[in-house]
Amino acid sequence: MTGRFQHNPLTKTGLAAAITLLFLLLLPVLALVLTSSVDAVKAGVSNTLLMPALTLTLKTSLLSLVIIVVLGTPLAWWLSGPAKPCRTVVSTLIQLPIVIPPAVMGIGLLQAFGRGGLFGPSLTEIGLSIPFTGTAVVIAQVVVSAPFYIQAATNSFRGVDSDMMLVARTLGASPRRAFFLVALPAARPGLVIGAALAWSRALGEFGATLLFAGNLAGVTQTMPLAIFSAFESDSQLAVVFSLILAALGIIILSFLLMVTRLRNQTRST
Amino acid sequence: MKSSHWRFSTQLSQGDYRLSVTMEGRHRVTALIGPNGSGKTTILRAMAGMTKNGCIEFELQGGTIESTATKTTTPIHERRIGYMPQGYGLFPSMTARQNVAFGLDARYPKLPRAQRTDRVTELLRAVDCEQQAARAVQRLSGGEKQRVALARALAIEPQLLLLDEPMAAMDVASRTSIRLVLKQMIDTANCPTLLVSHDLRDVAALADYVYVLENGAITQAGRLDELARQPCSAFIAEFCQSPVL
Repeated sequence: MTGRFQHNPLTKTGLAAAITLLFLLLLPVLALVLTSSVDAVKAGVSNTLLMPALTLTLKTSLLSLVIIVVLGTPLAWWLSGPAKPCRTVVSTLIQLPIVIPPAVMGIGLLQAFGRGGLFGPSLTEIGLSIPFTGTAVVIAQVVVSAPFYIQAATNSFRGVDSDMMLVARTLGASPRRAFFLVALPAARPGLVIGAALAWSRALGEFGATLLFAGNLAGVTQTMPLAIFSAFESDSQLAVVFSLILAALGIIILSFLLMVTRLRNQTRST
Repeated sequence: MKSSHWRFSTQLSQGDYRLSVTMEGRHRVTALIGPNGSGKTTILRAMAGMTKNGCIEFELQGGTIESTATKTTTPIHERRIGYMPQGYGLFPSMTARQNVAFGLDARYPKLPRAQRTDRVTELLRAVDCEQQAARAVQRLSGGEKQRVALARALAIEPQLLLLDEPMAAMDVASRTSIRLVLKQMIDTANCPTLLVSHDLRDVAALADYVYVLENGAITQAGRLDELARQPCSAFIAEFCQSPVL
């Protein structure tokens, strides 16, 4: 027996509550599938808005993911250390983008990098303008998605056995070597899950991108923004675009489940 | 008087908890026993280099490893100390062979590949785990894990071996045979060892000298038969009450 209970029976009220929530969770995807037709899907796939938006979404979200993992992993490692006031403060600050609405983050980014913002004049002096560019899309995605990766990575690093790390050091490994050869592989399943969560958040990023990067087709128009634009003129097209983005999300979810199952299998052997 | 392989003294405090200990390793295997929570593992971790607060004076084979007085500290990875923690601390993403080779790769990066392979094979053979070399460590039995961890600790030819409850995860039936393997390995390695154990049979079979740690201080030290003859506390009297002696 692996858990406390072999069976977790639901009362009738609990069952009704669970079914209601499950229905609500699945309803949007079901509605998308049931209200679209093959012809509409064909028309949507051949629409000129789709490929630039899909390509930009994949490119920017993958670039964001790389930035998040490269910059977020050392931070998560540090955060996983023994509790100290400074760690608690930093950890709380990192969660801010999760509780602050993305639109607010978009305005904040404009106030930081926009012409009249904190860094605007300095950036203009060296001939750089970030708002309403692909760079702005990536920055918006990084800001709203990074906390998901950092949180998952921190929890995963906390699970790394401190004795194992001490043994690695006594065997002659420098702190860097012990981190890369011992801590990182041991925390890998959690890191992968965190990366997948951050990536899916970046894929669906809308509010901060709209306000900071705009909605310029072929330049800053990602899939969520393309859905928004299509919805204003052709709701059936918006349904097909939504289906495509939902399919991407389902692929990521399947990947997550596969990794989680692999991790459980590894632990049980 | 026999010269000591190592000398360690420390004064550590954390909240209400105080630890004040001085020990010398003049014998091949020294045991450290004491009730749960008395600080035995803390001492081993401090010797390995894991403690940052408190005063420590630690000499090993005539050299200073750590001295608060002279502000000397040898980094953990430069100490030649083999450490086997209670849960063995095997690297789960690696095979048994990779675990044993880890220290050789880290300490001797220029060691020719063939020589490294031979050394790892030799160590795995010595602990009777040659057949398990390619197996992921998570798929090894408790006894195999312990032996692989021991081989890994000895691979770096340590000046001091620290063993924290090496039999704790073993079932009673396999302890006798594994104790024999452990004794043979320690004898072959000819390496001074500090053994933490709460099992009288381990101490009787392996240790030449025993320190007793109670309430953060050494309350008695001597050979096990001396401790049994004149126990100075209820813990020691209870520990030594066994048909083994």
